[in-house]
Amino acid sequence: MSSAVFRRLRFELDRLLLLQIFFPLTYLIIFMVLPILTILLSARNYSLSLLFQPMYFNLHPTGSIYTLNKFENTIFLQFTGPSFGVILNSIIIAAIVTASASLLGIVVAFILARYKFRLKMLLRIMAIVPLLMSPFINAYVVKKLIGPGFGYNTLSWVLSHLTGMDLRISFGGIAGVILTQIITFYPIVYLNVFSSMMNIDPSLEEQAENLGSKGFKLFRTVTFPLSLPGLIAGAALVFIFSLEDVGAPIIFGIRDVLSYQIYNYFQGVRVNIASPETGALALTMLLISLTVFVLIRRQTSLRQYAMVSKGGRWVPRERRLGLKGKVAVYFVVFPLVILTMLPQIGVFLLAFSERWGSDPLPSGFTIINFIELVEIKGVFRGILNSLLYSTVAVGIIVFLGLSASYVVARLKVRGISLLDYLTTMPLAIPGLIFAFGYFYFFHRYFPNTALDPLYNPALPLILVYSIRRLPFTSRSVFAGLQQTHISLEESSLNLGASRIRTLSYIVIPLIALNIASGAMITFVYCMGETSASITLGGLGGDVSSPNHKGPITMVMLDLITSGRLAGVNLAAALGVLLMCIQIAVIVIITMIFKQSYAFIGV
Amino acid sequence: MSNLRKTYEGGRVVAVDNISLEIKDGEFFTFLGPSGCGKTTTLRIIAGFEYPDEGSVYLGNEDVTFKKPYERNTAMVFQNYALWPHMTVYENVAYGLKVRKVGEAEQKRRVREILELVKLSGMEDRYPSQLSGGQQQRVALARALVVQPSVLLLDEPLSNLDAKLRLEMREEIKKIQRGLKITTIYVTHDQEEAMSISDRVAVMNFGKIVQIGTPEELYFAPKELFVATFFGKPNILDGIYKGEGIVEIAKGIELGVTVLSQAGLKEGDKVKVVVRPEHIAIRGRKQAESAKVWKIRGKVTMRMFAGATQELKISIEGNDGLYVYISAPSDLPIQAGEDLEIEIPSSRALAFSLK
Ligand SMILES: Nc1ncnc2c1ncn2[C@@H]1O[C@H](COP(=O)(O)OP(=O)(O)O)[C@@H](O)[C@H]1O
Ligand SMILES: [Mg+2]
Repeated sequence: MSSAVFRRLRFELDRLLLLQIFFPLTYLIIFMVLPILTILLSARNYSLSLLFQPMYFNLHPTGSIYTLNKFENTIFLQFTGPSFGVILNSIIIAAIVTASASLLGIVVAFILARYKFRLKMLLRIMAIVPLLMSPFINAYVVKKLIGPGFGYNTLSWVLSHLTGMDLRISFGGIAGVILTQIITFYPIVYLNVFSSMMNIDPSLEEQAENLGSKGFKLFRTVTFPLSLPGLIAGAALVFIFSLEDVGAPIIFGIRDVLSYQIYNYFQGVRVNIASPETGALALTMLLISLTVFVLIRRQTSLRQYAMVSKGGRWVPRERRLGLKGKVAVYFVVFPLVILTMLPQIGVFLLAFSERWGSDPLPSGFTIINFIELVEIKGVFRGILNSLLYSTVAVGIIVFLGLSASYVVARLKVRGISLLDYLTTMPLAIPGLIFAFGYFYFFHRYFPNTALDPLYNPALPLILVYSIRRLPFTSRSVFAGLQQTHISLEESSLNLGASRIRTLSYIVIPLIALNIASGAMITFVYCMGETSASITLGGLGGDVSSPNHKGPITMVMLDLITSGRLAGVNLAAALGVLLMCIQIAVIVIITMIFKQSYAFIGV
Repeated sequence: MSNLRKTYEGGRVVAVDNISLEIKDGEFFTFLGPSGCGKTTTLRIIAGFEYPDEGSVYLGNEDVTFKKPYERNTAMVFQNYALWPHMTVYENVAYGLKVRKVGEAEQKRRVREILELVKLSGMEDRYPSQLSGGQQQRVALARALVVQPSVLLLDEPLSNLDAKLRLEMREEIKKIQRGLKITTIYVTHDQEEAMSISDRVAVMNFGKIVQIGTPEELYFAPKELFVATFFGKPNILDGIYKGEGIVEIAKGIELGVTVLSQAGLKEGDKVKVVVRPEHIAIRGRKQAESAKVWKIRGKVTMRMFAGATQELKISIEGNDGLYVYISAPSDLPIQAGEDLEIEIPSSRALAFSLK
């Protein structure tokens, strides 16, 4: 038996394939598995009962959902939300965000997948606007629009003008965090459910209709159950993203969530007062997200992705809207989707304005903010850093992704699925966990080397990027390989070409577009990476020093929180820069390469 | 090949079952069998894309069982041609020569020669997508031939072509193979194709080789019922063996038969008798090819015109439900409803035991 296995391996593998297996495997183990495993180590000193202290886990919440006050003619309605302690807060917020985002996502997906109406293409485009990257600054805009503050926020201002009453509604604290995250993340559900729905064989629905099912019943009994894989994948990702989102909590000043606590650890590291319980909190976050990952493992594996991406084989069914449907689409869905675009619109306005004080809208047109991106040394340094880190990371990722995907797609040896799992796992591991694991592992075991983030965060950041964004390239490459018949490679081997020759003359040219698209998307998401950038990146100095080591997103956060004059406008300008890069890449990939642009998610 | 065996799914699917055979230098050898019988797997083992669970493959005297595909000098033409879409015809064909580090001038000369041979001169700069199916097929063939492989492997190369082109290419391949005297292993499920093109054919079923022989041997002297029924659309009659070359196919109707299978037959054995429509004569109108014939009376119940021939369904007199098909020249004046007497030569009625 064992000799048969050995013979089989000897036949299937050669030096190149071995390299293609062991390079990604070793890389993923050293730079993903080990740092994350050391979180266990760091949590070891604390008994888990610590986590049940009221600070972390509190069943008797403090604060209320809303407060209503009246002074003379002014009504103050403030939504804040009660606090259940760090851990419960994180779970509750993630659960509410996931449920609401799912509902909104399903509605938009269903309408776009099954109905035909005017301005449909516009709605499709509008629905992905919230996925344009504008970290921190979009939450800031949301706060300006509906958050608490002096005077009117935009919402109250609009309402007062409409009703004539002096009504001041604000969403602050946990409520603000929840709203921001719903707006930002619901397109992830929408895109996943949409692609599931487009992959349903139309005859399945036709058969049900043929048997007399229609309307909501048809949706409930056939369409919805068949699009469940997309919903599960999308919802699970939203849950993880909500859990690890640190932008909204920072902007809304919510410290009692896991993400903020871990972020805060790094703030403390700089001045040597890091809270030692953070290890236990990081472990908690890791366990929650790993549980979720196991749940969606099937939906996120490379193989599954390839199946999903084969969509469009058939003409999907499209019905016309009835009157009620039209009313619903034009008077409910469109306005809702427009609301979700407001943060991005606000970021644009902010970037081109002089100030946005206590007025309901920004004012004073200027382009000085863009000029200052180059002129302020610390800001420009951040842009350069991001470009450098992202470029190097993309280089590593292309190599890793090409190897791993090739092996997973072509090699029929048992145990290869491990590589598939490891390659897609970064999708589900919070960036903060990477940051914490990296800090703990490399600072402790490789102190004062290039790997030590406290010594110099540049290399650790590149490494984190190269792991976290790997799935974007590997799945694109994998999809390309799936569309390329294996006989094209076999005929090359058959003519006497070695594997490496076949790879470089046949395989790579054939999937060049997939590689290029994957690399460009990867680049975009490296540029916009936040969690590791603001934690590890923050260890290398801040914007005030012209030679700091932080990337764009760290600079953005610095600009917003430091209270610097016109800091938020500068941050918005950086946000616009990121969004423009992303839009350019979307256009190139979809219009010129005719490939699909993979947003976060399936 | 000796004792080749290949299984899939942990041994549950036996794709190739104990195959041993020798193919001669310069021979055109064909694996013929229904879909799923293991032809492709056998070919892929020879090419080195798969390795057998047991057994060995030899090229000449060299054991190549565990050699990589690129270490054997075989050249394969794939069913879907597998032309590289990003390379021109010239680049496709020259690829194998580049790999072998043949000099530039020599490359040019050989590619030109081979493209001439497959009648594609002038197409060098086209991309595969700019070629018709037949032309793509020729490029695939040229790409394989140009490296002068020790064995040429073809896996159902004609199955993607339309009927007319298929006949043309079949002839072409045969001619080229003759000209170059290249050892060729061909895989097909089309019996007519196999017969017309091959020096020898191995008929496969369920991973096993049922019979190996020249097309004539397989046609006239099949050793098993499976082989006998695989060619054409023969009549298959149930009967009881009566001894001494006689089979009773219905009450009172007897037929002289030939027994070829090695198993032999005993009196009282249930048998199947295979008679080809083209071997059945009609008394007074279509001459039998042998003098020893058995006569049966019947009635023409259906006549189907098929161009050069006509197909007649003859119900045997006094036996409802018993009938045979005859193929006769289409200019024979025969009407549906006519009574006639058919003649079956015993040398062409092959009896097989059911065991
Ligand atoms: N990679 C594979 N995995 C599992 N079963 C296979 C594989 N390749 C072939 N088989 C099985 O082996 C048998 C023979 O297949 P194949 O050689 O392709 O037949 P043919 O070419 O004669 O149609 C079939 O039952 C097929 O399903
Ligand atoms: Mg086959």
